[in-house]
Amino acid sequence: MSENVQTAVPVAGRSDEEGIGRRREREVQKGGNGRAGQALSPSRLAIRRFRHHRLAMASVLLLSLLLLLAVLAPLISPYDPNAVNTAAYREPPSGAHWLGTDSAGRDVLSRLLHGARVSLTVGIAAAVSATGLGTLLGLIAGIFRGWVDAIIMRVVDVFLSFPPLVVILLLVAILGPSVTTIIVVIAAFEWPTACRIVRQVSLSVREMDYVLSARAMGSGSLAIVRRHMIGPVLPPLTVVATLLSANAILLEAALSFLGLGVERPNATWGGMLQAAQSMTILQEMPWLWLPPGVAIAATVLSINFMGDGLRDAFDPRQRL
Amino acid sequence: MLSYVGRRLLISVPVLFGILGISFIFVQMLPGDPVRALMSPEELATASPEYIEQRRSELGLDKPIFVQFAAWIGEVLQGNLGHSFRRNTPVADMIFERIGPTAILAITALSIALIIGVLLGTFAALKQNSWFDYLSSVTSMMAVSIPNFFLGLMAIYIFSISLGIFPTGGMRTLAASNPSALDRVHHLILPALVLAINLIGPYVRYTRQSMLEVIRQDYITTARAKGVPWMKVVFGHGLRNALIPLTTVIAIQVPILLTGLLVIETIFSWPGLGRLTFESIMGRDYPVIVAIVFISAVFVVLFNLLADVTAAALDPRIRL
Amino acid sequence: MNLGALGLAPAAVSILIIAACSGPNDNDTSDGGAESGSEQTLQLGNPDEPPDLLPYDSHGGKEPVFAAILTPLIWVDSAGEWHSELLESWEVSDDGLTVTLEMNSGLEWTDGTAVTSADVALTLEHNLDPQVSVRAGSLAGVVGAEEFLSGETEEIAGLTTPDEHTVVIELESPSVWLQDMARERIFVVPEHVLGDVPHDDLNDHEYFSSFPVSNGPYKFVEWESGQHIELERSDQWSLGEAGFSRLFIKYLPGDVANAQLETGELHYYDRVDPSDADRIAEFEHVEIQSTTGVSQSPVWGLMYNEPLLDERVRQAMAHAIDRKGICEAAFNGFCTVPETNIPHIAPEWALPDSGITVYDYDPERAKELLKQADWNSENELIFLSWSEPGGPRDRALEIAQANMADVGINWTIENVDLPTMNERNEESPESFHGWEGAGGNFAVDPNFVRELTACDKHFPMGANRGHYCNEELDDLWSAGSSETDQEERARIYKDAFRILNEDVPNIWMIIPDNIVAHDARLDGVNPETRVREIGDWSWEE
Repeated sequence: MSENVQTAVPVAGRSDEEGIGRRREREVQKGGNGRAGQALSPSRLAIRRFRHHRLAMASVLLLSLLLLLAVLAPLISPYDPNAVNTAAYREPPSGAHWLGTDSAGRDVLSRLLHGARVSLTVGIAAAVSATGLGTLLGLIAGIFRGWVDAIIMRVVDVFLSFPPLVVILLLVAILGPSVTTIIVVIAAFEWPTACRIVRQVSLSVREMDYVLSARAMGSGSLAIVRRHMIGPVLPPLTVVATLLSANAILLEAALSFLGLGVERPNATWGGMLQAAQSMTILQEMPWLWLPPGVAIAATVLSINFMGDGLRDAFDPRQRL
Repeated sequence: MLSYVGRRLLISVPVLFGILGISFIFVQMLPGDPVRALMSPEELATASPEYIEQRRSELGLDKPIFVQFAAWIGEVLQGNLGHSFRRNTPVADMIFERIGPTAILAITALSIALIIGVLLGTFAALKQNSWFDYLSSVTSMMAVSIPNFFLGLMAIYIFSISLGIFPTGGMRTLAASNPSALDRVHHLILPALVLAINLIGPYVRYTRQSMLEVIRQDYITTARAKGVPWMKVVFGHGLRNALIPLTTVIAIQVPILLTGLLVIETIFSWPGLGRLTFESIMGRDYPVIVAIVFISAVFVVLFNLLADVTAAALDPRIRL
Repeated sequence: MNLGALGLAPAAVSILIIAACSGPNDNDTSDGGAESGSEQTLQLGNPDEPPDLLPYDSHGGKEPVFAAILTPLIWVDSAGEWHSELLESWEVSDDGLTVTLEMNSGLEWTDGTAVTSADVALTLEHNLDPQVSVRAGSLAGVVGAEEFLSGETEEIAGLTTPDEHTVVIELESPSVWLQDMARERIFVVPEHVLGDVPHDDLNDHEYFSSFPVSNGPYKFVEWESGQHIELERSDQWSLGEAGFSRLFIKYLPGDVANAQLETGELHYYDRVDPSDADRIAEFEHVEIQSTTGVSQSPVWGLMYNEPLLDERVRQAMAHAIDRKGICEAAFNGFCTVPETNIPHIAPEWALPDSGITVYDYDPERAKELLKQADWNSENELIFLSWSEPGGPRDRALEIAQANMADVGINWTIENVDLPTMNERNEESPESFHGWEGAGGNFAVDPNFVRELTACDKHFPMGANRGHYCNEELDDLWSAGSSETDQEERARIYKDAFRILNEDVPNIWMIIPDNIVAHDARLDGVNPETRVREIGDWSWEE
């Protein structure tokens, strides 16, 4: 589980700061820091570069399609995803059931479509809440500095030093497995990355001439933040967010495997794949494992490619 | 240098203390009582309250929380990790017993991932933007996108059942009274390969990136012009450049792998630390959980330091 | 209504051999454990690794180990028959106050010491101590036990050994103590090793980590935590000769066990998922046997709270669940359906054969009952489940959930672990409405059902998790347990079960068959006793 979860966060580079567990986000920082000093962020250039990243563009298309299908699931599903039929269980694909039926006689296609809702919700909500929390704390640290900053940064160190899988399992056991829990767990333990980025940028921004002059001219902190921070902070944050959402989707699957899946009767991709975890199904009933397996892999892959494209677009030196 | 290491270690003391505190709070928040967690529903029905009270006081659970915490800190300061609730053994023994198998699996998988990743990354860089370049980045990203419990089962199905090349699990053939080293390697290959697939992504990426940087450098062009063989240039300079990001990746991965192999250990019946962690959480074995979190955190601190020191040794531009 | 046809007679156990492939064995999988040179090794699979090897509780993972190295006092089979290699006879006096156990002679410990009444007495003494054994609660009621435990006396006055072969137990009042004891399957420990050990030190005693002295067909060798327990043949076993020189009990998840059966790395597994049975039966070297089971699993347990207080709502649920369909879809037909919602929780003599409702699948009837009870279909109910994800019990619960949704009863199933479920059951029983239960073997005596239903057995004081309470029923339980006239007892219990049938405190969904998969060459495997007679197993001649 965590080997999946964690290596999806790319890491590299080296800065001269010291600290514990500080590297998880360095790679991502590179995207932003290098450009922090440029007054005018050429976002149009970035968009153009992103558009030329073919895999990333294909991924965006695929994800948009998935999102659309997830939103429309209740309208386009041929059956009620939870309606069982004990007379027609584990039936192969047919005209009536395009992707066959599962062990309780439920329509696999309908469950797949509804499962997309859960997976995408988990992915998006986890990413947004983790980066949101991180941004907030990073701003507080960057603006107030001093002991506030010191405390927040020590807390960041603590959180980055926790073994990720262990705290996830602990929190799931404490809160009870559910969609909300997965989102909360990721938000609670993945915010430090975003926090570091935002703090770093806000610290460097403060020192810059134009900010000093803006301050001298009477601009408030908020105005400065709005005007000078969003540009440099946004690129690395979006990269972080994409990676987090890929992690969240894989986490739901791994938790299902461990018996800590979300409440039933919710259909989820991880739950569907877990239910297909048997040699009999693997060998004889591909319609039970192929659809959720492909759905998870394709979604995570697309999100990763999108992240890749974003990184390249924001910092062209990365992909020479 | 020495003072740098000392300072870093000193900074990490409050961090470790914080981790200990948070994990202590978490285990206390776990729903359910450690004594009852060990009992089946039928046993619970007939167990007398005296039995449960007696066991609780034997485990020190009847004391106030602060007393329990202080007792733990005392144990840790004495280099002792306490006594397991579930087994009648010291926690240190339990962890020591499991850390070996995990280390073997993790190191093997890391080596495989590193070798394949570096080769793929190098050739991808040399043939930049070729079909090979794309294929290698797509496959390495695909590898982290498939839930590994599924990858594991698939590997067992293909390699153990259909092809009959590798055993399905365990560390050795039980029938053989004196298992040979070859037999152990034979059992190690399949889980290590599945794990390596999960780890390979970042190695490909950073090798490729570093190689590209080097290939563009002026001094390489000069070296080539002077007749230095191409391979020597690539492996001498390119790999050297890649070493720093690669050590960073390893430094982050190793502490995570320590407890993060749960899924693979479960599927391949590998007696590692991940499974011990999971069993301890499910069995409410407080001392084992806290000890594992603590040891993982120590590993994070040490490996981060190690990575920074190595980086400084490799790159004269970095000063500690 | 023919109750026998519903599988109400556990005595009529049918052994069904699905795949009897008795041809010459040409198992040539090179990685398997069955290649030449290892013929003397037997490998068993089990999904639950025990936390320790103390014989004072009945953890599912300990059973195969103890069955191989120790000897139980008495064990009861699924038909309610009692067996013992250790005891020649067991008798209760007419007044119900004295239990006399007479021992067989000839059984020896591996060090040559005879197994005597002193060993049995020490074992009982340990099991009577609530600080040592979880069984103390159900074995309470022995004269002098409390004085002994409080330190007032050196010995338990009511537990005596008149000679080497006799143990006499005196009870404070007539009760079903002997039945309780038999159901617990207590393994006897050696008095000459543990006799002087204070009870406080038993948990940490060296004996339970290496078993230097044992009396079963096999001896303990080593426990490699996270992997397996290794045993070897005991040459000193006095009841016969074990069939294998070495025995491994491997701890591994079900799908891996399935794969290992196929490759020949595993020779025996008795937790087969019924939906894998057909595929396993096709392996040339593996045989599948099954027999009608006795314990209900899963049970759709109900909380005796609003909005489930009206018995018509509970009856509606029993009618709404398509138990036969579940038996087919989730258990691949390897099961029986308790349609009267009471059978298999008591011996046949105690079950009523008239005046009881059959809860067949009838959604219309369910809706009618709900209407009468003014059921509000907006109610949101919560069910706590702890079964293995994707397994047959889990599938059964999901189908039942959908069945009930069809008639307007909406459940959400939450996955919890057992400690969480216990805590919520104890501290916030109003926070949920249903719980997953599993029955044991209740065929020994109808009084065990009392543990699940009596007003004074509310969890955690007993196994009555739903906090169900019916005083009329309680009166019948107490009358039944102290009654010594068998016919009168039967009459009392029949009345009690009629109440249970009408009240539907819980829904007994399915009684799964015991399914055992084993190497076709393995001789002596009986799906009914599973590992209990492991000493008699051997390779086929």
